[in-house]
Amino acid sequence: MSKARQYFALVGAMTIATIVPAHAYLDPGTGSILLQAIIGGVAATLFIMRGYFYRMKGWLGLIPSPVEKNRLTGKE
Amino acid sequence: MLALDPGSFRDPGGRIYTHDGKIFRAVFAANGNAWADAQAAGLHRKLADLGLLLPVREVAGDGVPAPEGAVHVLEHPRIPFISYPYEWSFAVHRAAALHHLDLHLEALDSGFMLSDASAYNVQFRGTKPVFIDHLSLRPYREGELWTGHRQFCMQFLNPLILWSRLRVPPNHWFRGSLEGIAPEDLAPLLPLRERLSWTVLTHVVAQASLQRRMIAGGAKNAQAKAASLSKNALLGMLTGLRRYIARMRLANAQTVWVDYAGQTSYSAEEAAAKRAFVAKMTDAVKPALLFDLGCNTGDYSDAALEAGAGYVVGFDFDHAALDRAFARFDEDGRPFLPLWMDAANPSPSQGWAQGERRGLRERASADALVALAFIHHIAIGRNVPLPSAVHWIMDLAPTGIIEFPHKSDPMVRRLLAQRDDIFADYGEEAFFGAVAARGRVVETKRMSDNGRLLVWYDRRS
Repeated sequence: MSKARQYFALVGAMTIATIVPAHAYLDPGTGSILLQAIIGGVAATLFIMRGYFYRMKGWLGLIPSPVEKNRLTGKE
Repeated sequence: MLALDPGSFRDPGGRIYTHDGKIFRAVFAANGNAWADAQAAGLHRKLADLGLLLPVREVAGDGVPAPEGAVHVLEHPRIPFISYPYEWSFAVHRAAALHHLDLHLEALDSGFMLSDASAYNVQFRGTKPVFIDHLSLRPYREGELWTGHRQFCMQFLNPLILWSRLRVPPNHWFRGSLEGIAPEDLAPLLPLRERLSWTVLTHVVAQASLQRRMIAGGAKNAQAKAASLSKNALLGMLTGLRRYIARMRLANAQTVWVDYAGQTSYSAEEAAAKRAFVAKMTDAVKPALLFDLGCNTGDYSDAALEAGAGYVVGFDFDHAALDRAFARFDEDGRPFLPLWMDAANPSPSQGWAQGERRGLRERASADALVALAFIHHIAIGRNVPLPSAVHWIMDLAPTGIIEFPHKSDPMVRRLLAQRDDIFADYGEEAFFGAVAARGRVVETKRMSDNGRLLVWYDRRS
């Protein structure tokens, strides 16, 4: 756990200099801003890969294509 | 007479108000062009057609009064009964969370996003959630952060994690903390095995840790070049949360009263007779809004709806019963909303100026009610003097049916099993006396097999 904390603290320290609060009336919270900066890349990569995965399944006829989007969001 | 809604003050871009019993929304200059852009893009119509967003109609020029500075005036249909997240059972809260994410994803498809993630903006029409804050929708700018992320965690994700992973209903906590449950408060409660999930590790544990560190380090005011979040990253976060929440289930849901109907005190004939009596009252009164106090899984709400009640709100203390009721009415789509309530401590008026979130009594008055197998829970279970219990019930609706089980009833005996009987005044005579002090008895019905009494009261005229 302490390694993970060190990791987050390090990445946090690196990103904090590039943060500005959003314009909205709602304070997004510094922790949330930093978190988004940190996990954004992973979230984007996973999202793109999942998209390819379901599209490929669609091409291969393993799932009907309208189901692709639902699989991405977990819809039943 | 124009009356501003006391709960609609946070966004300077707009304000909800009522006039002539109708619901309006004023849009102010602070909203910029967000409303107009979304309207021009056909977003409101698209989302309303999908059942995601409350319908809206612009009424400027129709002679409707508006607060000073209004740029647009909008009219919305009325939600039959406003509910708050601390009154939701698990199934209701989960449905609201999924709805919020679905709306956000649909909006992004059209190039718009949500500026916040308040659970109070999701309301219910029966068991179907609907989003009510049109001014939260604004054009999406490539690279912008998800401003509502922390709020989404506090008002949707964290309560649901507390519930599904730790088996603790969040209602008491949420009711005291109207902004929801902060990651910093939830994280220390999570055992190691729960932290292994990517969603919990990032959205709860890491966010809590970052938030604490930044506040401790005084770095909150750091300002420089804007951080950015790609659209794929935003979509990844939203779809990831949706998948996680869609998979949530309550393990081994325990319940106190769910099997109530199956227990010895209830025979099929008695249930049918009660249904018939509820139907008779409902048919005579034709209530637009009916309260079912102690609704359990909704058997008598069902009877009331069949007999023509316009909308039923069922209240119960038992989350498992409410979840079953939710599933039952969600399937056929009839207008029934199950809500959690401790009758001995109903939702108060609270929040800013004690008017932001309204108490049960201040929010709406029902046209009729049924309180079956209910009164002994407060009069004996919670020591509320019988006349006080009767009057509290009767004050909630001008007419309705109250069931009075006498002391030898098995369910009352069960409540008395572990305690001294200090309820010398609990009896039919006292019950009728209390009813007569507030109204008249329209009709009574005695259950043949166990002697329970159903009393149809009316306090009008």
